[in-house]
Amino acid sequence: MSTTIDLRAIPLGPGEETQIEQTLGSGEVSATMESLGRSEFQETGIAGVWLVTHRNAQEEVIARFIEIVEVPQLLRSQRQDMADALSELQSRLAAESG
Amino acid sequence: MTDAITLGEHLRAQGISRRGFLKFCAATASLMALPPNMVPAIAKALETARRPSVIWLSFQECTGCTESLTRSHAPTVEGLIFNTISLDYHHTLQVAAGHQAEQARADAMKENWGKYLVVVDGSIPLGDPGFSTIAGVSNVEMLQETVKGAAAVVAVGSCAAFGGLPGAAPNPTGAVSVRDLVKDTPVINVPGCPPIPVVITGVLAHYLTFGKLPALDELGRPKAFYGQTIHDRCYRRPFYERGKFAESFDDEGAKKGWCLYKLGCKGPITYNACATTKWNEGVSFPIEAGHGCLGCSQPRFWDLGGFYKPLSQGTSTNAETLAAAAAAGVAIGVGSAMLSKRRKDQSQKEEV
Repeated sequence: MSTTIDLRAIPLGPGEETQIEQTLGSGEVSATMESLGRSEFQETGIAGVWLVTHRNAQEEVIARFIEIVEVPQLLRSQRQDMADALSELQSRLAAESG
Repeated sequence: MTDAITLGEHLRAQGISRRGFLKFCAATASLMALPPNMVPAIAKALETARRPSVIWLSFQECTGCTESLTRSHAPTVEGLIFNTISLDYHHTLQVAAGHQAEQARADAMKENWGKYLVVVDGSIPLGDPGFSTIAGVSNVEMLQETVKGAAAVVAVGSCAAFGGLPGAAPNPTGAVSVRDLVKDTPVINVPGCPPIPVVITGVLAHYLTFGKLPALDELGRPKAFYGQTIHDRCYRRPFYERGKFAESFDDEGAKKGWCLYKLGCKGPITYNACATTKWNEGVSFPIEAGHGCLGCSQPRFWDLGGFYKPLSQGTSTNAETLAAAAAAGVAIGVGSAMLSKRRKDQSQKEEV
């Protein structure tokens, strides 16, 4: 089970987004992902509550979510990528031995 | 040219991982004002979506809508052109000029007959068709010819959607909207002067994702973006409900961020997403910058009696009227918020 809140869907006044961040605080884990621009995953000081920020290649924020989940889905390796990676590994090994 | 491959294949061929694709889907859901739990459905739809051909026609307009589009950051206009749509004709953005440009339009129509999208910005003059022509062809003629093979028409900006500034009294050119002329093809109105950049791309993304037009309100606007008034979602709304109004742009109330109703804010009658989506990559929106809403996404907003006149009585600003307005505001506000929520819930239900 997980819940995701889209921060763009909430009418926030000046400074209110920062206030939410300050209330939640910073937790123990943070991670970044580089895919179509950088994404930041920060576990807040409230365990299980993550602040996820997606940026485009120009570093502009394109979406911001609060995710309530053990691990944000995007941090897991994806099945499709793993399948592609296996054939990539095989071709690298074949190239080395050949 | 429209690629025969799907968007999923296209992104994958560019070396974009599944993670990248899911990130794109999450941003797209947010962009389309859909709830985050719809991301898997969006991913499924986008995997198999094919890039639609888009023909963009600019009539009696100021290019402000195109300026707005090119400032869309999610997705960027380059991303949109290269990945999600095939923009085959847009006389401001395309490289080709003259006969080659018009040939591009003819080719795109022929190759994608029955499937392409037509985007129109600007109103169409009927007073004298010679008021606005492209390559010697009048706007009305070009519109009618181009929409014949279109799957749908998107009227971008208040001019195309409602006649806008050219249509303001006394309407010297006899300007009309796209819907006044196009009856046999679905028309979706994306008004605003200009519309919010991501709302333009959001509507295109919606068509791409679901292969159909989003749920529309009675004025032909997508409910996902135009389902609630600026006032419904305004962060200054609590001041309105407590009767705290700025009386001038430099008084104490203005400095404290009180409600701009008395200074002519048209937020209560204006359906748009500015209060949540905001402008300039989400920095702020007019009310946050201290100015009332002009109502630019509403029909005939130029002729509503003045940008600085309060809505209540047209010209009256006496304390009694406003006190009554504030008291009524609480009741009406609750009612309209519920109504808006229902509109929005309904529109989200219709997407599923």
